[in-house]
Amino acid sequence: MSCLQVRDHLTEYALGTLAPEDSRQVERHLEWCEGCRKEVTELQEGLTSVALSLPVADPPPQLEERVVTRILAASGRWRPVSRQAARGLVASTLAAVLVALGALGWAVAERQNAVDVKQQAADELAQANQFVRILQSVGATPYIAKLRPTSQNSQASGSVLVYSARSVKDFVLAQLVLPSGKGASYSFELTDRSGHILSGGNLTKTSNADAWLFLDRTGRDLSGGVNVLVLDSSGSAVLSGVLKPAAP
Amino acid sequence: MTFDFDGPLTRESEQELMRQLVAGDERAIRTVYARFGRSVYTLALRLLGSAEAAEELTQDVFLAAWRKGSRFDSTRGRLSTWLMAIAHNLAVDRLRHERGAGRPTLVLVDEVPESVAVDEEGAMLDRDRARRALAGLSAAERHLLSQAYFYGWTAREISEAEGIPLGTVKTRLRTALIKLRTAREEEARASVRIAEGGPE
Repeated sequence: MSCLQVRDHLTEYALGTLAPEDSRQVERHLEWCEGCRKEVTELQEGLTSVALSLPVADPPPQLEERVVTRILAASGRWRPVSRQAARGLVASTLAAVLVALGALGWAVAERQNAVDVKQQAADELAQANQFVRILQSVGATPYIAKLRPTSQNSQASGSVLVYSARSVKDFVLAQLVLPSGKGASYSFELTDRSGHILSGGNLTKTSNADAWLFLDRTGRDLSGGVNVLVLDSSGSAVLSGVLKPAAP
Repeated sequence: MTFDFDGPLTRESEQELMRQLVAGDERAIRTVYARFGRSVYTLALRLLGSAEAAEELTQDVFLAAWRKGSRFDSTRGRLSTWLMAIAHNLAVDRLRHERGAGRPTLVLVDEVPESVAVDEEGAMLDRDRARRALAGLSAAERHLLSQAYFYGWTAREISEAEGIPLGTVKTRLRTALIKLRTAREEEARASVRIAEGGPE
């Protein structure tokens, strides 16, 4: 895009109403064009007046502590003073990660663009890594597994995070990319060394046709979980992996 | 060099504040929250329509500020502009996600009562300036901006709904934003002159 074309889009870009494909092209241009960057900053400064002129609403008093705690935890500077504090932090961060994973699905569905998906995936990975750091900050060792397809020709992939500690309920979170033709369905299994199923159930399809999620927050003891399998509707394994402690 | 974060923030102190926030300094985090927390929460509440969603979004905005903080450059724009742009973008993303792949339908919750709590001085000044700047726009300009910023209408949709040519809609939106920006700049310059004891 030339500066002239970009400037035609800048107002809508600043307003957040530009189509995603056009937004991406504008962003690419802004990466190197100082003049257009200056222009969009000026438009955003105008918009700040719109945002700041709104009738003020008071946030709840405890919100400041949540904000401070999440940033301190993410930067490795926070240690929980109570089990309740640890629970609250993990729950709110997990919620944010789920939103990020869902947003990845949405991005894939709407944009169908490799560069965009790559960026979204990088953002999502940053969120997940940050989540692992937060889990570590509450004294736990999260376990992760990179899942690999059982068939050489398969494009399926995925990752699993298992958290087990005394301070909060155990949970398992899996994010998977799987073919999703009509009627496709998949199930998830986390087993211990003896093959006993510790957690399992059907995967949930996201807004993106190929992105699937599994979340089990029932709080069962998952500390013995080792092997992960994802099965298709006929019971055949399509993905497998072994849990390992996340690197500190 | 030491920075005073108690009075109005200069561009230099905003840059230093963000450097400290990125380093995980608790005082810096609390200062940024005290300055901008209420504005971010207010925007989130007005756009998303529920206190719970607004609380989540506010946390995400400050966490994003920490994560992207090293990219903040106060010579290019003020911290309030940067944070409010993050908040608006995250709200739009969330609404798109929740409503599937379609265009977001932003919700402006008009009925939420205004807080009567005592405001932090810098934030109060910002708000007063913003309101005066907005008062300088015509009713038609305010209407167009509101349709785009709060309701997520594209320029084409506004054009069709209002029966105004697309190019005119874009020009009017841009003109309105530049007017707002200029008005705020002039207000800020006048404040500095008054603080320095010069003529208004």
